[in-house]
Amino acid sequence: MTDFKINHREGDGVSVIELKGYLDAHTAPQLENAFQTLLNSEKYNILVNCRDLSYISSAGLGVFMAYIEDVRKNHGDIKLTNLSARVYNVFDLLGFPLLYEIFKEEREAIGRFKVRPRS
Amino acid sequence: MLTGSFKKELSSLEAIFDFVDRFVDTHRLDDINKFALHLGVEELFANMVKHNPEAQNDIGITLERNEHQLLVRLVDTEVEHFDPREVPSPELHHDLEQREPGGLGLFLVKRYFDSIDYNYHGGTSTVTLVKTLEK
Repeated sequence: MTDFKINHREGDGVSVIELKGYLDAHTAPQLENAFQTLLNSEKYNILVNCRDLSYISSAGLGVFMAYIEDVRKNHGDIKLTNLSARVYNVFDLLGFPLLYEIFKEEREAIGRFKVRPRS
Repeated sequence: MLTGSFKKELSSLEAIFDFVDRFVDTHRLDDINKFALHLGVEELFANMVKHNPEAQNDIGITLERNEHQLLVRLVDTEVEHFDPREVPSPELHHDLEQREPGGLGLFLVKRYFDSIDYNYHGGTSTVTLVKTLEK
């Protein structure tokens, strides 16, 4: 199956986007819409959990590149977690670990956003 | 050898991945080769959709395995010359704001496959990828 699904939840002052399935040239606009919706709501602390992301191509990587500058201009960030080895390899080949913070688990990433969660 | 023909639009990708999976299952390829095949086929297909959108002919895809290699061939008819080998590599050492978005896909293809060949004749573009199978 090559379906793609996005789940969005809010917690600890961070917007969490969960990706599942295939992020390719046909499904990438769904992630664009998800990022754009967050930006329209002035939500700039974005954590992308890739636990169930089984595939990514350049079109998917392009979405991350398209939004990161706007997000950082607004003092937020896009951080990534739970990448499989195969998906990480694609990010790595394109030098993304130098540009994006990548964590093993959500918990580590949430603590690294500039605006700390409300207690 | 497996051959298929797909409508020249990005919504064909799901059917294309299913097509690749049939080939993967037949030849009992591992997940690493499956990932590479999906990536190689998608990036070339998406480039053909992007660079000659006015041409509406289907794109032909052939997958082949011999003893030591996987071969991927995409054929696009009635199109302008577009040699993917001439696309410059992205400037990966640049900071974010200096990076250009183009060229990422073909850069990945070149990393996942051992060779990329291009032939243009009579308005038909043929791109062939070869990946050597690890023993």
